[in-house]
Amino acid sequence: MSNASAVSFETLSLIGVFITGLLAVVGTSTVARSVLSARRDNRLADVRPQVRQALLSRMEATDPGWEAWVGGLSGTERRVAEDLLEEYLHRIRGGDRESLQQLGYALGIGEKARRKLHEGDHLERRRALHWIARLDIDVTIETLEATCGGHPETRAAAARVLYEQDRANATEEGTELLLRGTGPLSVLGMDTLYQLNKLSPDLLFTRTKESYHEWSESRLIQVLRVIGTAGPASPDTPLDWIGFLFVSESPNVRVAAANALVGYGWHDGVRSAIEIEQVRTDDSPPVRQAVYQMLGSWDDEASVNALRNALRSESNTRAAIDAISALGERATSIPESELTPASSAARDWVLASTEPTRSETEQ
Amino acid sequence: MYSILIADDDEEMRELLRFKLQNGYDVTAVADGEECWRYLDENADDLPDLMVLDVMMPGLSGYRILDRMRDDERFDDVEVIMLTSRGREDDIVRALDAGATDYMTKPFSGNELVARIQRVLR
Repeated sequence: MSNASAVSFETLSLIGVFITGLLAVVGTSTVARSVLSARRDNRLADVRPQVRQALLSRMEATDPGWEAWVGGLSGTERRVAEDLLEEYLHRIRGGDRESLQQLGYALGIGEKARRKLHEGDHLERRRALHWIARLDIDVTIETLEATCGGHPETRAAAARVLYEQDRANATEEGTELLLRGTGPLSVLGMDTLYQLNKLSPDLLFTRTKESYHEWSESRLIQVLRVIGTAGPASPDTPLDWIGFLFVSESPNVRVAAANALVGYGWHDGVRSAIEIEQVRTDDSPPVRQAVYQMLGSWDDEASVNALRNALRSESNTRAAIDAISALGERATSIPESELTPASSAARDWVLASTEPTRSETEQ
Repeated sequence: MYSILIADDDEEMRELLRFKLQNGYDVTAVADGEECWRYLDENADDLPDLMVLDVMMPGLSGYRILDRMRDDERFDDVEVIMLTSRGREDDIVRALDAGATDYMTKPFSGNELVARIQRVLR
């Protein structure tokens, strides 16, 4: 028993010494790394003003002589120059930008970006694409598809390059890259999809018609949101299929469809494709809310009648508020006896909330 | 020599603007909205001829500064060029309504900015 206690005590002591030693090593190395990191940051900060001044002066020169300048930089100065280059390419355009792009080549960034696009993992490829966009490096769509087509993040970054470089077929090629696969888009992907299609959602309508049944719910909702915020579609864009979106099993898709079509009251294809009576009696209150907003924006006789009828059947107060808001002053002409309790309460609330404005207008 | 006040919370932006303008103008730079307003208030007797004003700054936004300037006749003669990454139509209308002389979006052309300043101060 006493032997066992001695062994146990020795073992515990050894473990204690080991842990103490390990903590000392970890602590020392952490402090050392922090000191080294702080010294490196100080060195970078110390040379930044001189490097900045030299860089900006050369940027404006007729012959900047970037190669010679870069050749004379220390490792620290070169790192600062790369950092400043990235900062300034993000902020300026025009002749100064073109001059700085030549600095990017002199620093070897252009060559490295081309290499990493082919050899790197997907994170390195994204970084390479960032520089390809910043330096306006000419990369063919075939190369982008071959090197970046396999991962949604690199596809989004490649599409962004097409947009940033203002390529002739950027909308078609970039949209195709982004909408490959069926999953949701990243934030960059969604913003790029919007930037590429913001003037006209015609292509997005076409792609939605072709693929909405294959896309994930998230993807479909994202594309509908882009459609809803983009400019108007052409009058001859075929949209007679759009009613299918309102029979989706997902209320989120039906909401997104109504939101996307807010500005489409003028489009015959949309108006003929949507059964107003069917969509305004949707089972889901959030869908009805979105539909009321859509009908309110359309503001034609059929839509106004649908909104009036909604107040005679609506059981959800929140949805009734949207219907009344969409009708505006016209909501006051419906006899109280015809309103549902929810619509009556909602009308009282809306009228009370707009009372100060009405009084001000009368004054 | 005309004087210009740069108000931008982005250090590299301030340095870039200072560099582009330093040869033709007396340039001062401030790093946020509160500092900008303090500078204007404390230098009301010797105001800059023109401001290059960012919209999104900590403390006070560029819009708030413009609103305050519009409500205070001491600043009636200060020209303001807004320089911001917010390029939507309603942002531009908001700035011009609030009294901005001109509006430029980032990324910007330094030469274009200088030309616009020259036109305003002519």
